Amino acid sequence: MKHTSFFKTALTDIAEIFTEEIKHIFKDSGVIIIFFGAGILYPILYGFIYRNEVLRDIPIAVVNQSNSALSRDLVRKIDATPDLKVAYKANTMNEAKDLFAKNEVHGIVYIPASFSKDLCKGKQTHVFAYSNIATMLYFRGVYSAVNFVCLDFDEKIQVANLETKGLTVQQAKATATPILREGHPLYNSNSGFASFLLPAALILIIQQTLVIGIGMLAGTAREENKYHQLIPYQRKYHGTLRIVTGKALAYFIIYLFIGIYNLVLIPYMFQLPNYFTIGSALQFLVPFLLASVFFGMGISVFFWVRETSLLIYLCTSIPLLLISGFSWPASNIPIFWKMISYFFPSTFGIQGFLKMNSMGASISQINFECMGLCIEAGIYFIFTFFVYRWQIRQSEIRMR
Amino acid sequence: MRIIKSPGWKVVFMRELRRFVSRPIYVLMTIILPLGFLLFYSTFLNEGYPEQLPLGVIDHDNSSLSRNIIRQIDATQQTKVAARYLHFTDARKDMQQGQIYAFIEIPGNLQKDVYSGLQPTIHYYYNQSFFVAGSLLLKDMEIMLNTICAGVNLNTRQLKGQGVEESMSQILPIVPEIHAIGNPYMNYSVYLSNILLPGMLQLMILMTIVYCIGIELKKSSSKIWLRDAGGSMFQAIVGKLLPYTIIFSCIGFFYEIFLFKFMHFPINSSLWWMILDTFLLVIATEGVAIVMIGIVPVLRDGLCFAGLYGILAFSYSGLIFPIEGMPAILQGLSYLFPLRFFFKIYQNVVLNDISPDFSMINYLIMLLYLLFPIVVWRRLHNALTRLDYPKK
Repeated sequence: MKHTSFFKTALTDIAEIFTEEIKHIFKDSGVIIIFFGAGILYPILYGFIYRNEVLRDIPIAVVNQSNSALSRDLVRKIDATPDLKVAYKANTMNEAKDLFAKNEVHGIVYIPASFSKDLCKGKQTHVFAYSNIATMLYFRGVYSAVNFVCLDFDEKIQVANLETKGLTVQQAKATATPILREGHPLYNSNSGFASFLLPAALILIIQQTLVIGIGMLAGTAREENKYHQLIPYQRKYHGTLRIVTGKALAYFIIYLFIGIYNLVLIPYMFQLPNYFTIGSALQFLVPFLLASVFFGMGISVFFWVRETSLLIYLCTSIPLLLISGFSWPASNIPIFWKMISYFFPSTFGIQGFLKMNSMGASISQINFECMGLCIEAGIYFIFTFFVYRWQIRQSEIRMR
Repeated sequence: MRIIKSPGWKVVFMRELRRFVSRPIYVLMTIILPLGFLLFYSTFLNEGYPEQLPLGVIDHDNSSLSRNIIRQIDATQQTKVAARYLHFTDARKDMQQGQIYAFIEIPGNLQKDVYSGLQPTIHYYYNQSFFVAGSLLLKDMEIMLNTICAGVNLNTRQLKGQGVEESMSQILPIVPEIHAIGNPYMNYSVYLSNILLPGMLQLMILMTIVYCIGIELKKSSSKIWLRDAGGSMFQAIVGKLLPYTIIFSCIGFFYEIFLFKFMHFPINSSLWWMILDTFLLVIATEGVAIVMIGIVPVLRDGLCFAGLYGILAFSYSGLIFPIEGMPAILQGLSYLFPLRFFFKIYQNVVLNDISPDFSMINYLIMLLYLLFPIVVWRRLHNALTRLDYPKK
């Protein structure tokens, strides 16, 4: 009999703290901008920005000094690649440089005057290409297209030469290309940029908005009550555990919706890789959200006024993206930063989400990430508990 | 009592300096965090170019040729054979778990088929979900396999009595030579730091300026601020922003000197152009920050908008994904971001050494951001004097 009443009061306390926190959230326009503005509109904006996924028809200038049938054919082939478009045919290199300076073209292909003569004489010749490395994707486009076309020409010329020497077509081909090579992109198979960047950004958006929002709520609580404590002392709230659980539940439930929206709906809407079903998404989302919620609640003790979380925490976003190992390969991150990265749920979150949703790994294949998130959730929960208890003690002392 | 003769901006300037030292948040925002970013980027990307990327091998042939291929792949600086597999599925699973970024499958009878002229196929797989590692490995594998293929070809020709030079002109009649302008080492640190660091700086400028104006509204001290400036809004703004302009400019200059003089990043014109570019970024961003707090003269909301805008600026710099690749409607928004024009000037004038004449329009746009606050001038003035916005 006594037991039931204990659970009953505990549950009613938690429910009360929960509803109280929900009210706080919806009364606070700053938190609404962060939770719902950033958490819901940001992914859409990013989805549209990177909607095109790949760069097609990068404009380049061609300087064809050779001007032979063969060189013109080469230019046509370059133009026919999906990456490049011959936007200008310049007469001199200076003319092409001028176009480059005006940002009219992003690459230059130069075919020297001796091109056809050399080839007819059986001498090696060169084709030069220049591109702007300041934008890596332009360079990538010029590099792969020019390389591909030249090597294709090489093979054809070689086969033709061998045939004139009396080899059959098959023999000539086998000599020119003894081994065939075939490359297959396994995941994100059209090399889409959004499919690469957005999954990481989505996870980061969830974590950062959650932490900043919780920080703002904590800062407001401190500003509004008399003794500048994180938790106002009220006699009716007995247990720290109840306060922590009640508040965490409020953030958790709101973010369950925002999380599903970000991790299931957005990838589906923008046709990003989406192996997730609601069920597998939940398997991943629950530990990730718990880790993020308690991480946010734990560090909210450092946010003295409501603006602090924005002022000093927002700027970690770009570094956090980098140390998660989604762009700069995880295998090459300096050990010190790797250790630091394990403090943040986003590191495991991004890796786990990419592996499950973009590459179709099962939950058991991301054991490492799941474990990391669970350990984080545990540690940050304990940390939050003690921080809150310390804060409650403080306000009790002040009250007396 | 003598009437104070100092001009209003000077009074405000001194007042702002006192405010600056009174709370640690200012020092944190303007000096400690920006220097922390420098430390982060310079140590995080110190490798410059990712080396020894792990890839896997499935060797169904196990001949001297296939072993030779594996040895050669392992020997390059860029790649490391991290694992060998018996079955495709095992390799794929490891790729899904991120242990390897690519793998090569060598078919059975490779050697036999090569020497019988049957043109066997080597399949290679790479992971484009890890775009950088996947793309680098794709390039490395293509180069390696081309070289190996050409090597076999050369061998055959030499057995037939052809000389090396003659053979090479037959195997590779056209040599593609592709050069990167400005950053010949393909160094990612050079590529990223030059824009991410100024990007972090612009974010901190936005937050600091919005904060230092917004806090006057929140604490209802804006009337005193205006009074000190002699009632002139212009003097009030100039005096208030001057300390931050000086500090952020110094931090920005320190960034550039550190990157170009200490880290020896490639620079193809004078460092002064970079210094000028940085200074323009500082003042242009301040212009935008005034607009931010002018549109929403409430500290918390102003900060939210400034933050969301400041993060978006990284995408709109055009560094990673070019603006021209974005949908047309969203391309227009790029004019709202000084970081975009900072990057253009850096790219043209500093990296590619193109005469600044070509960048005049970019310089002009940078200066136009200084006039940007005019659109919110009245609104901000009203907010400062009437204090009729919510303060919480």
